[in-house]
Amino acid sequence: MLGFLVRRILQMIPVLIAISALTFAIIQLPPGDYLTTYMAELQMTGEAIHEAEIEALRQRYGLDRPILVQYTMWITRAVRGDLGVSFEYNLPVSVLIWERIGLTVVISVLTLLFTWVVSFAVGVYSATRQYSIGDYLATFAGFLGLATPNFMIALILMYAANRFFGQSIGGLFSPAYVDEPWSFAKFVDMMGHMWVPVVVIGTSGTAALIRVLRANLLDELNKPYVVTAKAKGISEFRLLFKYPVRVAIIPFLATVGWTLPLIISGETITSVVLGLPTAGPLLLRSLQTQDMFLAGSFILILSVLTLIGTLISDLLLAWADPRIRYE
Amino acid sequence: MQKILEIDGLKTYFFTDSGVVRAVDDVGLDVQEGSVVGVVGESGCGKTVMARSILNIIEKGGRIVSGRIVYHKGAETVDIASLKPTGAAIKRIRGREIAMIFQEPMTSFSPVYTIGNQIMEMLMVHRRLGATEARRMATEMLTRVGMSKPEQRIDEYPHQLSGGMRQRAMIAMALSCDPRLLIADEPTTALDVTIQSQIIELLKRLQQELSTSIIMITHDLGVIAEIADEVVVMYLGKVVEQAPVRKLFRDPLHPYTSALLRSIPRLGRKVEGRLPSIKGTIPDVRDLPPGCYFHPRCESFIPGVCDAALPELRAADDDHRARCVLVNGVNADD
Repeated sequence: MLGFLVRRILQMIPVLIAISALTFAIIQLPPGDYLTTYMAELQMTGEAIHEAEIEALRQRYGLDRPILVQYTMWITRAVRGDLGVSFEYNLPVSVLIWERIGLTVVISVLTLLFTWVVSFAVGVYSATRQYSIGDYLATFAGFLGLATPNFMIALILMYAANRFFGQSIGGLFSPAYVDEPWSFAKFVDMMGHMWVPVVVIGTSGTAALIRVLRANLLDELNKPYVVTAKAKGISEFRLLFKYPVRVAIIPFLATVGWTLPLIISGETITSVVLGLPTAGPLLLRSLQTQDMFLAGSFILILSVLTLIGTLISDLLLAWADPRIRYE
Repeated sequence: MQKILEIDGLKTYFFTDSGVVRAVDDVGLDVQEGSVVGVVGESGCGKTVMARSILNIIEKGGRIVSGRIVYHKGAETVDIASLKPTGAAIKRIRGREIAMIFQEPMTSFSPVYTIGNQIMEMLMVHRRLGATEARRMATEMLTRVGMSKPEQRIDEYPHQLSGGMRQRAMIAMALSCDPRLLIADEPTTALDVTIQSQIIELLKRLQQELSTSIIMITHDLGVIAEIADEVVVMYLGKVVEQAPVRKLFRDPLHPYTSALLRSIPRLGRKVEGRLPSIKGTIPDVRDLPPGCYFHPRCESFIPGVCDAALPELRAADDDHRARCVLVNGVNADD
């Protein structure tokens, strides 16, 4: 197991290099760079452009150098912890992203827990009471959740909250706390807002996982080992949860790996709609303005987190299913 | 000898979209203390459903419609057929009084627990043993069923064991609480021929050591000859013949039994042409032939008699009965 772990961690290094190089190249693909975008903006607002200043900036950030050199310069500094400066905000990248990534991770973990709890309860109910009214209801709700885009659910939820409760549910903080430093009161306030994004973002994942669990459990319920367990005379509760459910929930562990990338890449629009201070909207903005160090750093850090998530889910799978062995 | 199990008029039906399947239709048999009853028949004759009915662990869609399954324990008697399938009363019988082993040693253990865990569970649930004591007893049982290196095997997962070893572990689990009756549902069908005879030998030895009664479900008359005292032959959910093993092999009364016996290859017997087989195929249980269910395939078919009415089980003597008009002569009691 230790050998497997070391090997997996070492394998992450080339993957990370490939991802960072690829994203850096993709960020550079659109014609021009941040400074051309910046100049275009200045022109539009009618402000004077100081050619000398632009040229100084271009040289300072190495924007006139070949892309390979630019990448090498950035990645060597990044490894040492210096992620560069955001052109647009004129702030070090690290100042901008850590809080957002932290909040993204918090939302991801909470969404994952929400998804697990709801889909476990509903999935087990659906499978053990197949073709009951409850099962049909869950199936209907599940397909509805699968088919509705998340930003749509977000809009409906916001409209309903405003229309019927006169309440604004966007964002993660009440206006009073937005610029406050972290405190216990701010944390409580955040948790009060948190359920909206968690429900909105978690819906489709929950619906999918309900279907997976229901199908798996229905399969497992007819396996000979369940009959064996029945013949042993153990209680119904133990019979269900120790035997078929234990095998059927193994796919839950695989979701650890893909929750984070799903939330970042798939839910950016939801985050924009809900006004969440998470990674998605800022990443989108940085890509639009070709704020390359900010965008590159985001993608690099999120890639690392995704790889760690995948590693954790692989380890959990190996632990949960003795038939999987990596030796 | 004392009866420990009496099955009487058992009917287990499956209610499917395409009609009612009478998987077990009016079956009766007795099990004496310390004896082995063999139940033999082709696939689909209802022998497995009958076996599962005894513990009331019938597959979804099926249930016991009528009949009694009376279990005797000293002066106490329980009608298992009348117990709630999910209730506490039947759970005290399952595993502890009546245990069962299955056909598929590959899939009859949960893949995610060690065999030790699954054997110990029996002991911890029924005998309320602690983990240490249960483990000691489980190791002892594994030794008893001839498992090599039991201290090591107890911590292995089912997929790490061979088919024969898994079936040994299954037997160890079933016998761990010292049940009075063991139901073995085709325990050797999925195994290699050499392993088959080892498992049968093991069951015979354990049956004598522990004086457990056994109901042996099989389609293999060779297994019956080796281990059974009494034999019940089933065809399409009905008992067609019932006799002590010697009588059945020497003097089969039902043409189906005779045909089954003829279709076994025998060592040392001169082969003339092809091995005889039973002509035709088993009819669909939802569309049974009129009269005797076997008449379309029967070599002794009497038109106008066999396709008119289903014969009763007739007694040829006090322990030999067959469901055929030929018993005691045609029209003997019509």
